[in-house]
Amino acid sequence: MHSVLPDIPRLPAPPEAEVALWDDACLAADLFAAMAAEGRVGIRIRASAGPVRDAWMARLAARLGETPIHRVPSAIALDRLLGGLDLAATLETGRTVLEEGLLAKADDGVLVLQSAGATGETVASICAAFDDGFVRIERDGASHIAASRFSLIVFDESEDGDEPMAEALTDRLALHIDLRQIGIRALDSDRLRSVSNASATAQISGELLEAIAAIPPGFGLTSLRVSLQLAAVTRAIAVHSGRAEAIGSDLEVACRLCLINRATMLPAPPETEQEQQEETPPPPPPEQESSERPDNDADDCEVDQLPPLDMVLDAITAQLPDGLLEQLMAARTSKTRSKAETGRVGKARKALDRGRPLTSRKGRPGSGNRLDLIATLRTAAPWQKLRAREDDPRPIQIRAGDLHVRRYKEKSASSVIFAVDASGSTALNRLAEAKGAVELLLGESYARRDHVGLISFRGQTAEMLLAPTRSLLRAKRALAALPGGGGTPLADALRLAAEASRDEQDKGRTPTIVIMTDGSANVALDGTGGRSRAGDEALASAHAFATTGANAVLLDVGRRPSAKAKALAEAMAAAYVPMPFANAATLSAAVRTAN
Amino acid sequence: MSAAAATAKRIAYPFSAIVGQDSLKHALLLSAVDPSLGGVLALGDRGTGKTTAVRGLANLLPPIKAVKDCHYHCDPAVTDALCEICAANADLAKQGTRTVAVPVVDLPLGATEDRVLGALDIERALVDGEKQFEPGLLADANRGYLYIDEVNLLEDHLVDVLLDVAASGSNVVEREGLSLRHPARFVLVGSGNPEEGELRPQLLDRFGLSVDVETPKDPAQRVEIIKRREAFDADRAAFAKRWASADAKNRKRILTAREKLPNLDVPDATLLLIAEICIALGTDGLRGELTLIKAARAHAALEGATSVEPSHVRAMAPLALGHRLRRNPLDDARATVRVERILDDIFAAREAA
Repeated sequence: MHSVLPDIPRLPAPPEAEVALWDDACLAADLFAAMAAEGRVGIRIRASAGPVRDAWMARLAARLGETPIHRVPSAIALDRLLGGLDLAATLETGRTVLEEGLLAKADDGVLVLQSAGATGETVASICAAFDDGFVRIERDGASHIAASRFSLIVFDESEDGDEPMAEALTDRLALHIDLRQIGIRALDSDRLRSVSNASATAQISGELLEAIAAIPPGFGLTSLRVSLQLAAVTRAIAVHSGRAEAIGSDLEVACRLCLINRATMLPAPPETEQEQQEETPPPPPPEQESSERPDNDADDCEVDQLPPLDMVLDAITAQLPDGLLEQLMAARTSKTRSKAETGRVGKARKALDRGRPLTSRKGRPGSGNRLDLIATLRTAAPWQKLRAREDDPRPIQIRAGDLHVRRYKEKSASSVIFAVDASGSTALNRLAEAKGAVELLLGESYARRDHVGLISFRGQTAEMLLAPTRSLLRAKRALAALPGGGGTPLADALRLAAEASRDEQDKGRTPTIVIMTDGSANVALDGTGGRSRAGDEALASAHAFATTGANAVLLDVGRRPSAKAKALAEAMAAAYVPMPFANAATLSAAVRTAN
Repeated sequence: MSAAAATAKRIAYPFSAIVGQDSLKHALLLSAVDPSLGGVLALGDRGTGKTTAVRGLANLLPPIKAVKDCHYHCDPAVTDALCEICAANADLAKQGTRTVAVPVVDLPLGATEDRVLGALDIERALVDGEKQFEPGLLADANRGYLYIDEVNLLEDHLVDVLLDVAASGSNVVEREGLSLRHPARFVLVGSGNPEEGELRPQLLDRFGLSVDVETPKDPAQRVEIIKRREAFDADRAAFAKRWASADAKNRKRILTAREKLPNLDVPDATLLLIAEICIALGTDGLRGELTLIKAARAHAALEGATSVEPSHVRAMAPLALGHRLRRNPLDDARATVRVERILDDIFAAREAA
């Protein structure tokens, strides 16, 4: 076929697909910088820390030039983010002096956030400032509005099994780039032609806008923000290519950068050839075409006319990465059995909120008590005139008796995870009851804010059907379809239950595991049958579970109480409750007493 | 600060230019017609313009007359809702009035309790040795609107405070040696996404009307939304000007409806129908029933009707009662769907009779 290769040692060329992905990532960086200069824009980078992400950041930093980049430390306190009282200055001057928070500091800059560290209030505050362009501070006796116009980079390090990034955040980010498939060999290539900006802005025709409105819902992205982002990115791409009016191919590229990495479904395939392919992914990425992707302006004259919507969709689906569909499916069932145990940032996270603040009380700071300066000053305030002396230059006189410390009511955040034996003939009924119990518990526990999750085990493995949540809506969706039947992989179920307990403990919650089974395992950890080995492994898993120290209840749902189930409960250090006629109401009652 | 002030005064998207979201817009208009309705809760999908609608409403509200220099913008005409200072003022008429915009106050999630309730003004206390109350957001919102985005994420202790104040219409402050009470009557508007957390039932019940907000699916509507948003972002001032007359028309509708409201007759037959609906739905307590009566009246007033008819009740029942149904975890149907089902039955039976 080919003659003798030249004898020079060199790295093999990077796969074309990786280079194409890297091109897109670079284009996204350029667009981000350009859009950040004009206004606000957000981007999500799916990648863990590493050379690829560093290279991408370096490119972006070069494009951003002077624009300052601020990192949001993980586990940032709300007063650091929003702004709060400047202790030193307040004491010095005797006036309440506010210290700017990170959101105000980031005005006219770029904010970098790790999605894993972002909790509800952090996310909500960042989203509000990102939307409004200012931050409203109503804290510590001060009321203030500070400008806060920033562009946002979110590093999403979550793997498929992890808790996904907060939706409120995802919804606000225009560009979505996945660096995980890119190897370092692809980084050398830089095929992006930088085009001089002939035009400051680009027009979008009514026709193109119609396509922009119509395309995202096909990918399961119904939020109107997505369409608005798509319009903005399409415009930026046109400007980037030196065009005064956006064309169809600009939109195509914009779809690739905005939609594909966050799609939750795929547009209905235009052809019928896929009908019987239930398991196969969509058409493979066309590698031969991709080399031409980044610079489409060569064939301007041909694409000038807007291609019909079908063709645009076609072109996009043809560029979908391999196995996207499977990824989507996997994400939806949200298995916790993640291969990527190592390097998970969120794993060691401690609960950030220390519970509900109570009114502060007199006392000295130290040994875990934090000074409540405002309360202290308020106590001292009425006495200032009396205490002030000519010879004492200090503006404020504070006595030991004025000191107040903050108090928090320990948050009793708890979670209940059901592990339900869905094997055999009674499975469906039992699962339905467990589902009912989950929903009842959630429905009854608004005030307690408990989280509820569900593990189902059947066939070869156990599976997390519902990651612990306190949203009734999400629970209902996840539980809509419950498969049943098959063998009883009890050992795997206990392993998963232990893993879930540890996860919950890491999040600062107190988990209670409720196992519903008759105790007779017949599938071993490796998925093979055999009662005795399966039973031994189940006992071993149960002992391992006991080391988590999590509360557990074993509900024996067999027709008669069984010795096996009882032994299992003992090994797990779990309460044993025979419950031959479990139903949703008795189940939730049992859990409440166990709690 | 000047940049910040400019930001805060940025032109809001005109209420009348909002495409679709008819229930939400309608509910907000009703709350302007009858502020005693108990506020509006908008729950639903992200990016559907919930916040835009609330911000737009502020421009629609006719300005109010308030006692000069009063922190709580007391209404000199309503003597039973005055603050302590205005009530103690024998010459209130001489104090004079000023015309102010209806306050629409944001309660941000990170707000601390002292800023919500009000507290001792430390600066005054430290510098001048004066014990002075510094009013909080509840005072600012008196006679206006208090808006909480992501209301389902609000800290529990703030929810408790809000529930107290919303029930009594006044804020009682007992802290740091201060002891006072001031009027805090406001329309509570909340929005949020239920997927991020459920609302406590006590707070849910406090809202007069609730609206499920969904992303519009009609392609033509989506295109129109995007076109208008693009036009707005391109030139905010020009866009606002183009919609000014539509906004003025809506403002006039509110004013006309307010005038009509006191004279609007609610026939006994309509009251009976409302009772029948509430019994059939099994809503807890009387609040649902009272709200439905008020909502139907406000709706009739907005429509320019002379009496409250079954059609008005029918239109308002899902908004007034949907969030008050006993939750049935095993019934997957949305609350408003369940209300519609029962309404269909009741109205079909009436047709037959």
